[in-house]
Amino acid sequence: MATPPSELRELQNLFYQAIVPHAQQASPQIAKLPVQTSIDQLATQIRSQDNLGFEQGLAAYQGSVMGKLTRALEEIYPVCCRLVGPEFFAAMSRVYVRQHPSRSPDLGDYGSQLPSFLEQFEPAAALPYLPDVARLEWSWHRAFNAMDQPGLDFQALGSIPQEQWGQIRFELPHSSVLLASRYPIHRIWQANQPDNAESAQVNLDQAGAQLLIWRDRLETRIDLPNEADWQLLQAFAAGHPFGEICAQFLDQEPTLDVATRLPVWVQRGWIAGFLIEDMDD
Amino acid sequence: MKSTKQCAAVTVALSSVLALGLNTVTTQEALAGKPGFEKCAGIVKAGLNDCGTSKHDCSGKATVDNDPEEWIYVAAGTCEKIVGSILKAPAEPVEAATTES
Repeated sequence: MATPPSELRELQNLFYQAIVPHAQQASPQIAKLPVQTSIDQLATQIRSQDNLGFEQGLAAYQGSVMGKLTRALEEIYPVCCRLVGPEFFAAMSRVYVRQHPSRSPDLGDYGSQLPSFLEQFEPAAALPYLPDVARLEWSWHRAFNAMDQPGLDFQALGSIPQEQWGQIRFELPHSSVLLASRYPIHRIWQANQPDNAESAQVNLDQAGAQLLIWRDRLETRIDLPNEADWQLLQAFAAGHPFGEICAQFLDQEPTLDVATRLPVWVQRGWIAGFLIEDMDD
Repeated sequence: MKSTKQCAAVTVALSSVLALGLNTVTTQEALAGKPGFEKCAGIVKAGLNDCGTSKHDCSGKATVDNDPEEWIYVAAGTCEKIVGSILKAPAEPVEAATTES
């Protein structure tokens, strides 16, 4: 890609500085100089129309950036939005957008820090489960948009000599996320789906959640592994060789029969690939 | 380090998986049935929306006005439907609502 001439780059930088939502725009009276300076410098470069002055034109762009990013958050976090109400969510989004400018040309990458932002966001402190619900929504969003992945390659697996089977590192789907919460976030999520009955009530005293979020071909899923599968999923996610995993769970009480779990997982689609280290050394 | 039990587990596991592969390698469709697959009914939704987040536009969203300075600190959504003892002891009282005036 050709680099634009330096004057163009300068103009683009000025424009970016002028329209990107800044933290200090929250309170214009303490606005710091640089933003205003870039706006003033930009003003000399822009030819105003009779029906639309420079300030108005700039404000339209500023509003457009803010509008797009807050709308992206709304679409990625619909359950959080329902939980707190659209007014609260919109106001919170504006605070977030000012603190976290978009860093990627892909709008689908925007909003990853909302869960940790919510942990620090005082007005939402009364809803302790909200950050974890946001984590669930972000994981869903990323799984939904994840690259397609071919299934397990049985032929390649079959070509590995038996004495190396213990060194195989099985891989969970690239789209998968293991998410644990002390709150029943999957029930909260489910109760706030558009097609769910309105009367649903969720009790926070219910057990927490251990979730596997992933995409099975065209179907984005939230699976609820049992405790044994949850332990085993974490061992796989950590990338341990299969032989070590077998040994680890043989020593554990109660023992877990890894040998019978693996084929079940393969059928579920939880095993998407494998790695094998070179045995050349 | 390697116990015979461990080796046995590895062998049984891999043999079973490869046996699966033998059954399905000719007909990939066989996996679609997924025997033993526990489907979590109701947990799955069809998708984020028709097109994920790829269809964004700013029509009707662009606001020329300044952002509202005073905003609602009280969540007014479906949170009332979430009950339980944890909510009776929130982490910290929200004092921002009172200091803001």
